[in-house]
Amino acid sequence: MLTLNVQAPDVEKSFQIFELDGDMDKVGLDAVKDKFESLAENFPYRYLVVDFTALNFINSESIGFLMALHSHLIKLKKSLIFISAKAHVKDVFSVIGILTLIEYHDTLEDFMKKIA
Amino acid sequence: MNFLKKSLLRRVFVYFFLFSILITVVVFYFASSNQKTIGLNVFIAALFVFLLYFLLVYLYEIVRPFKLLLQQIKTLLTGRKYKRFYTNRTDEIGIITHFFNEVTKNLEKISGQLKEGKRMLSELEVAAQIQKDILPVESPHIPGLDIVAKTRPAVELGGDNFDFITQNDNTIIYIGDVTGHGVPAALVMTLVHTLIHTFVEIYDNAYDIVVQTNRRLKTRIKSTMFMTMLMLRWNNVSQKMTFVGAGHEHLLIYRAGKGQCEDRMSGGIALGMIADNSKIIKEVELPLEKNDVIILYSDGIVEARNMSGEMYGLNRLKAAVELYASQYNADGIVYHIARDFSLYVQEHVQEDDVTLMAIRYIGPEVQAQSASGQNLTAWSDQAKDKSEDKQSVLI
Repeated sequence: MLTLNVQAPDVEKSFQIFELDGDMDKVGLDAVKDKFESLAENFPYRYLVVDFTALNFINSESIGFLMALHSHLIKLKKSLIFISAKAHVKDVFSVIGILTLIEYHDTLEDFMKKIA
Repeated sequence: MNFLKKSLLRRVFVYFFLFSILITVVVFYFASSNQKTIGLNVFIAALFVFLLYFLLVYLYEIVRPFKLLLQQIKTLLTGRKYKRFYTNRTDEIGIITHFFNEVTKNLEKISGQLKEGKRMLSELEVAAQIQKDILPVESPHIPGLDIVAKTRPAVELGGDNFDFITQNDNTIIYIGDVTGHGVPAALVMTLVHTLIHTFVEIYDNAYDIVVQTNRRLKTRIKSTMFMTMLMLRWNNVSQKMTFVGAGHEHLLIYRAGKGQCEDRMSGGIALGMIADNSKIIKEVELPLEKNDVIILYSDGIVEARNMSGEMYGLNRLKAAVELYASQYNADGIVYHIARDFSLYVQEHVQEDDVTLMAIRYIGPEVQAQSASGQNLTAWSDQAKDKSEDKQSVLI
């Protein structure tokens, strides 16, 4: 099962963190997809940060979903940022090549430093 | 009046009330004409009229509609053509009539859906057969290589794809995996298959084939879909192997000299993610020594789970490659890895398509033993065979 926790936005630095907790397989994706899409529809901040700290698994369909989200945010002139993925999840990102398109940081602090 | 229409008892009560009024009028008539008694024949006639009246009411209001309804229910149950009833009654008979009409309406709907489902299932079977026909039926004869591949889709249609295409001095060998599985994945897989076959005839290197395939694919698929791919190009004359990665799983190379299995990132980016991948992908040479083995696989292998929910994983696959690559030819390697995989996942439901390919470099002068046109590429259930022996696979 997968849950999506949306943190309060940092309005000053213009970002909001979306935490994913569980397995992002077909069932997990179906559970969070609508919420994710509705929140991203007219996303008001500069950065949508997805925190993968508690994510154990991601399948290719979910990566496809994140790619579509990335494309949508690009159209809105916003950015999708990935942070804190476990080794296996980061390996999947690297293998598919998604990190050549989407900015990744190992920690939230690294991301904060980048936008400071 | 609507209140009175809602129950058969109330309806009977109304008829009784009307009849009572009639009796009252008759009694009043006799009373007003000073007649203290009535004759037996008049009494019997009145009783007869009373019974006839209730009999008619009973037959017309209750028995007849029930009989008609039961007739149609029998017709329905025997599978013959039935009729619906239209009534304004809201009493028990009205309710049963409406119930019958609703049930038959839903039955017709379900029957229509079943027919549609049957039609779609039949089309799905045709599509699955077309997809099977697209995949190579048997392992090819490629000079210097002993090559075997097996695949098994998770559902009727799969998103995994592989092929061996020889054009002039080159043989293109590729494995691809479309996001998800089912009809959308199968359609993308078919599209890519066609594109690759087209570009193999135009370009003599794997790089251009992958770049052009990606360019055409990107404009034709939705943004949530992509296809990972690993394409090898074997030059049959120079006996050199090169590869291009497009976001696929690791490339495994069993080095016969060291007895170890290396994993190498395929690199690049999955097809369909960006419009132009020409700056991201590259064709890289892959030096091979005699008896080295290349293993290509789809994520359905490493991400498959056992009954405890643990994944098969890359390390287990590498260990299996190290164990079997030194003992068997390509057919035996695929057989034993598939068997190891099946024993690991046991009865856990197959969630994704699985594809496994083994390519052994046997050297220019040796004819492959297993590449004899008998290695069907469908993933057989023999992988679940408990027996240790696999005939004629020892090299």
